[in-house]
Amino acid sequence: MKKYLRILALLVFLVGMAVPGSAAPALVSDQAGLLQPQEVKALQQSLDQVSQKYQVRLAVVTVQSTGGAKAGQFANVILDKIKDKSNKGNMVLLLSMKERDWYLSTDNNMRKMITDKAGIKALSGKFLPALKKNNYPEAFGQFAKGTDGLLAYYQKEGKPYDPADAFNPLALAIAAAVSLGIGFLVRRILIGQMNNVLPALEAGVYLDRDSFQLEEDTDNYLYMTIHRQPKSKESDHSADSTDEDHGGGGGKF
Amino acid sequence: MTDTSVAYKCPNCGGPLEFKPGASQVVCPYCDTQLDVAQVEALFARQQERAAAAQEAKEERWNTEMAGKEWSTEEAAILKAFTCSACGAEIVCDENTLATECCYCGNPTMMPNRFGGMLKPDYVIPFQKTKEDAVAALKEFYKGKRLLPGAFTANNRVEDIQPMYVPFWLFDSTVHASADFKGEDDNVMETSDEIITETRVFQCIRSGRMSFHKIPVDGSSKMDDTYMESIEPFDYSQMVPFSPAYLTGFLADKYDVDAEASVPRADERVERSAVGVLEETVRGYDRKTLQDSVVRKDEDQVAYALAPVWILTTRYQDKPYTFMMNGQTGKMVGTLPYDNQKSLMYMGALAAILTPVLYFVAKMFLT
Repeated sequence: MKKYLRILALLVFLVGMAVPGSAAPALVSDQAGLLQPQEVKALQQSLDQVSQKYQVRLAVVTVQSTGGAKAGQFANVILDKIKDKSNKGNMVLLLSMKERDWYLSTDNNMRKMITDKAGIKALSGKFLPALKKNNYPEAFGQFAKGTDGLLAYYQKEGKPYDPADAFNPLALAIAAAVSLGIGFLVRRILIGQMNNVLPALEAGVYLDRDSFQLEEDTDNYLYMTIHRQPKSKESDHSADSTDEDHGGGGGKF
Repeated sequence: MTDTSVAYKCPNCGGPLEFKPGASQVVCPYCDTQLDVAQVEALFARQQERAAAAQEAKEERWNTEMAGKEWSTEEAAILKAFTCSACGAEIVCDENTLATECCYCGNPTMMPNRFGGMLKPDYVIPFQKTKEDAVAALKEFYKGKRLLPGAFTANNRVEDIQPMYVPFWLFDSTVHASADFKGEDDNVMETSDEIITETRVFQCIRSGRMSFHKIPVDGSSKMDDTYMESIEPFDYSQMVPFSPAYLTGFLADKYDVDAEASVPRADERVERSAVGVLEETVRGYDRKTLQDSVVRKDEDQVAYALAPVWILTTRYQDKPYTFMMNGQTGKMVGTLPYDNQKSLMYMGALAAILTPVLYFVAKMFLT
């Protein structure tokens, strides 16, 4: 009951903040009290700049607790309340301090520009280090900056950022090493073809197959061993609250 | 192969087994494998039998006295043997040969006027392949060798081609082989948390009798054993009782490794093959491992034969290269030189082609 009251109170607040129309400003709701007033103002300005530049709506919401609700579901509800359908995309960054959960919820338009896997991973990679150090102004600033970067990439390239498209020196080093290894192996095979002088280890060709008489053919059971191998745990998807209308991703900080 | 003594070892880990007083089972103190006394008895009774048999086998000898016969005076009269003054190889030729060159070192040698001191072979496998066949086979041997230096084929001239009868001992044997294998059968089950593999281990006892016919072991210390084994097999259906007539126009070498000294090589091959035959009868397991084996000769016979070999010698960058061809089947063996630069080029080109492909694969796994 307490959980739903909290969500309800937050939603009443957010609905008041929701401004329909293409010029909807960014939203900063610091219910957990992580920022000073001037920091809220500065963050608001940063998010506004990005929002106006790309015709999107961004929100940063902090709460003391989600009251037992999953952070993803909580963030999705917020997104649905504040999203401006006339914009090119909407995104909410939610922090729940008690659970130390973070979640980025995106609508389907934003999801095309910042994908659930590569995009969210890249964006969270920007703000998570500061978040883990409890440097919230820096973390939110990085969120705005990172979002700017990803949206700029989309605008320029016409496709969402994917690190798989970027040059990866480690992959190159691995590929070069494996290729050289295969090349070396092929070289050894080619060199091996230059010699067919090999010792005869068996006398199979001189065996009279018809002479073979099997005199004893006994199989005795001895014992049994049991080997247990724990299954490798897949990555924790419990924080995942994506559905057909919501994208994003989250985790702990 | 089998030891001549038996140690009671755990069939699972190889540690020494302990029988704990008062207990009904024998326990391995290292891996905790538990075995019934009856199982242990069955397991090691076999090994004890084998150890005894191994000791007997160790003491057995091939009956080599019957291999070869003395030359008759008439036969010796038409043959000439001489020793190369350069390398010491002993060569047989017909009475009309006045001079020849040593097939080992190429040294021109005059015929000495004496012959004797060698056993007459039981059989000879006559040459079927001509000198032209040997040259053609060598050219065929070069084909498809990507690393062969261009200069080797362009300037290649076979320096010397010698047809030679090489002395071989042919071993016939009927053996009794006995072996223990460990058969392992896996049953894999999955739960939500783990993969459970149950491995049932069996002792598979096999024994049987089989015969091998005419396993060749070359009796010339000057011929490389590996080369001689590489040109095998010979078609024995064309083998005929020896007549000096077959040696005319060819070089022939007298054996200088006697049958007794050649026995270990034949035994090694027989043992390996006999155990292999028994292993083929162990079926229905995911894995099988040889634990113990003994091969005992029940009957054996050795014959002395001359087998035809073409020896071709060529030279590249002042280094001699020798090839040998089975004078009956035409199988050519040898070691060719390779162009190191070419080999590195192949390696580099392949790496250059593969790197971009593997780059995308590696990136996919890393991201």
